[in-house]
Amino acid sequence: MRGLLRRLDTYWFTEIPAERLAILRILVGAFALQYLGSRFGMFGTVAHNLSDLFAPVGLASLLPGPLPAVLFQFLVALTLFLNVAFLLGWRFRYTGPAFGGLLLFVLCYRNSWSMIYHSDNGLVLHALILGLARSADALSLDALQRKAPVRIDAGATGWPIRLICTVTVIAYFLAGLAKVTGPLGWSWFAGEALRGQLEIDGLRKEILGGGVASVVRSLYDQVWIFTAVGIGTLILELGAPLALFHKWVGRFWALGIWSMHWGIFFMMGIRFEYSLSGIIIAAFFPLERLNPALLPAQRLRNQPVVFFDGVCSLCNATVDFIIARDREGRFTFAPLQGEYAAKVLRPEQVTDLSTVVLVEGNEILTRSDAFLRIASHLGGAWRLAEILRIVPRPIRDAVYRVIAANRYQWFGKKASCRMPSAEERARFVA
Amino acid sequence: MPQDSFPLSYYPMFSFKRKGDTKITYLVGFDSQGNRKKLPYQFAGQGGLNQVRKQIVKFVRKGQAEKLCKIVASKAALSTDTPDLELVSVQIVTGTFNLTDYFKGQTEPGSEKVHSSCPVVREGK
Repeated sequence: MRGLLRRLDTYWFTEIPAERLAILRILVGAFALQYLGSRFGMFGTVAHNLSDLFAPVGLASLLPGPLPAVLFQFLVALTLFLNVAFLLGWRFRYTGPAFGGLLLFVLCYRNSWSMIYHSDNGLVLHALILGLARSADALSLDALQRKAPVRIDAGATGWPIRLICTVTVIAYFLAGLAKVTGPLGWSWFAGEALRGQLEIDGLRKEILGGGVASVVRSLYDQVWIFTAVGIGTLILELGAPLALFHKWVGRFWALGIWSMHWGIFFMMGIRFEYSLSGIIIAAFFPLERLNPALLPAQRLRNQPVVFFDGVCSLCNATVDFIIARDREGRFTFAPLQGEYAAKVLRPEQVTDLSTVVLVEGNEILTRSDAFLRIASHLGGAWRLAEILRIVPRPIRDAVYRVIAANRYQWFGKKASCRMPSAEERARFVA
Repeated sequence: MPQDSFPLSYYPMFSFKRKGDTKITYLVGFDSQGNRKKLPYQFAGQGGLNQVRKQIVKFVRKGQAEKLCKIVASKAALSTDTPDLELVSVQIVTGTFNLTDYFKGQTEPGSEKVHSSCPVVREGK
């Protein structure tokens, strides 16, 4: 049970670079802008539909009836305005949630006229999560205009990305579940159910003037193709939850889903734009690595780096303690007041001297999380410190904060930053 | 089966059983010589193919095929989409197709039911 809680805690609240969340905000914002913008006229015609056809879903179910067309068109225009603010990260504290909420309403209303576009599900849920999270802490107008550094708590950027991955996975899993629990059951594995799906889709298109189902016609007798695609699709859908357990499984799954949507496009001509663009699965990838200049914590060496308050006696004693037990020389050390810290950490992390910062791989850990991770690397009995993870992070960090706030008073303060000895020099970066 | 919703769905469309025979409701137009042509979905409503298809079915189920027929006829009167066919009347029809036969080349429906017929009235004619 404790192990499970620890895993859940680590999974949901591991800090992920704010740049990744910001890139996701930009991708989703840009997609939503072209999606809404290119359909502005069509949304206007939807608003003029006959009230007989109104079948409200989601938030639109709260309405007593259809809105006046001019009001709906105004709401779509307002959504577009907020979309631009969301994309640019302008006054995001207000525009982010407002955009997420309004997009949800507008798309609920649009889907309330006899047809639900399930391809909108991912877009609206992702925009809502990003709008409610701190997605504009980097790469935004807010970040450019900020006078004082913003304090980013551990996990503030981690949970939204995890949640986006989770809702994406749930959607595909439910689609797979609907197939095998429905009357067609496991016949989806035989390929005939999939061919039946393509047949009926092609028939509707041809009869109602939506084009010719040329791919279905040309592949019709090649049942093995439908079998292979049917099996592959079901594995991806029913196996979706596995994507949450390991980053590489997640990435392979995401690429599989992306390929599946391109396959659907080529076979059925169905254009799920959000899925085809790859944005629906973007959260599974370390997007900040696309441009190394965006990386807040590039490592000079492939080692975990411990950043510490160089004038704090307690912190220096802690460094001595780690060095004495880190026989493999795993850790590198750098004072928060040094040039290296200024180069690789975000400004707010450099100015906050009250916490040790551990940069390991793509993770940036602070306070009790950093302390426990360091202890786990020291091996031996120090690994037992991991038991403390059963204590909820807010309580652990509260204790850490009390000690940190009184560290100078209780343990003393040096007049200048620590200068490493000749033996230590290889382990330190200034 | 519970009603589907948005943005939270249980994807009920994957649970529908596809039988050998399937019914589709569509639009048909006739010229003065009695030549017949299936009309594109855009004659019936606003939106994409599947949205309009569902709207057509909804009209018929609610017993409003005649109302839909008049909408289609009014669009046909203004339309330039069928230049080779001067439409004089339109119908709302449900056809039964055998999926296997259809994709083997038998593209005509096994049976048809006409829900409503109405003339195409052009202004000034």
